[in-house]
Amino acid sequence: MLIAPGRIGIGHNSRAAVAPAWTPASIGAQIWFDPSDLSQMWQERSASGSGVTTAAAVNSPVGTIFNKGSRGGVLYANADASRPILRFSSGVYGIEYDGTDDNLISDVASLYALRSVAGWTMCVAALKGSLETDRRYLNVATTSVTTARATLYKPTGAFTAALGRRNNADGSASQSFGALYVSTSHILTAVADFSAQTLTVRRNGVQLGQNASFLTAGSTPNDGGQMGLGCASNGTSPLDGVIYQAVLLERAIDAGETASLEAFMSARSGIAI
Amino acid sequence: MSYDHSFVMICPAAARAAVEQFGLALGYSGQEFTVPLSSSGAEPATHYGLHTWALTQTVALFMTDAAIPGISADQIAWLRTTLIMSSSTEMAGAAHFDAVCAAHRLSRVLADSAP
Repeated sequence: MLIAPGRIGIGHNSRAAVAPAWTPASIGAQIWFDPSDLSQMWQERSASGSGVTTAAAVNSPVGTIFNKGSRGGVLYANADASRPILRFSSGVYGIEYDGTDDNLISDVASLYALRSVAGWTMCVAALKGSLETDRRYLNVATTSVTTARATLYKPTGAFTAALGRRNNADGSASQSFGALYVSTSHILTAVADFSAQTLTVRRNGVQLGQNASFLTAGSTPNDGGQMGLGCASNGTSPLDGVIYQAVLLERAIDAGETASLEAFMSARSGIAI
Repeated sequence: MSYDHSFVMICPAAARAAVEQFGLALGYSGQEFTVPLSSSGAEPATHYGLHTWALTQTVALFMTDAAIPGISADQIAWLRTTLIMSSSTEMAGAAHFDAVCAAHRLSRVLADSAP
């Protein structure tokens, strides 16, 4: 049966209301790295994002990735041999790090500043491929790249952890959990609420724990500036695994936003929550 | 094109600057050997390594007797005797890198903690 154009639906000229798809931009994410968007990645390395010409392709290196969050900017590999590889498997895109020298970092202070914020939220969908310790999923450090300010990482020992601090005068506070998440994809979420002084970490939609006395009063504002994706902010401690998605907000998000964000991560990574 | 060869190169620390100059001539950054290595895993580094994913033709360029554009035969001979090189389509990433290091009794020099 032929159907005349314009006559499909419940009536001529009728339009169903279609809500825009939920993305991290829906809650104002300042940082959003999306390996499923090949238009935002390039094979050349560029600290500024200019001069890139070769679009990312599956099984090819990622030298530069643009931030789809509101702060804009880019991350780039600090050497040609240090470019991770874009992979596509089981319908999911991911950036694979070799656990040796791969990295994607920001130019000093160009991308991000954790200053005078009320908290932060980090969420990554990732795969960690081995037991190697001190490997970073997402990291923000000081502008001089000497001290971590906010981190999702695999520290020494059999834990997954979040670490952060509010002020320069603070010692770091971290929350670790006693499980090995190796060779298994997972969605990790860390929410630091400065007013409540809590740091909450979740895995695959379930709260793993909370540090209820996270961060102390201090006098010097946090000056976080340089960022690393799948590595520390200076490019060391590379993940031996895959990053499917990574998001950072300059505030603590609420339960509803957390659920939406984790559902989005699940849809883009194939990881069940 | 598919970057499907896991490729490891290790360079003695004393030759690192000279080797990086050849890298510059080939269009690389000149700062490719970024992983410090030593026999004990403690500083100072005696070697520096890199791991990358490489095209078949790139591996062939470095690991056969093929001419490398812009580099003389003597220089190529020096590079091939100076560098430890390994290509694999079976091993990958850190496993490949660490296996090559172990075969040459080298370990990564790890910082106490990264920023």
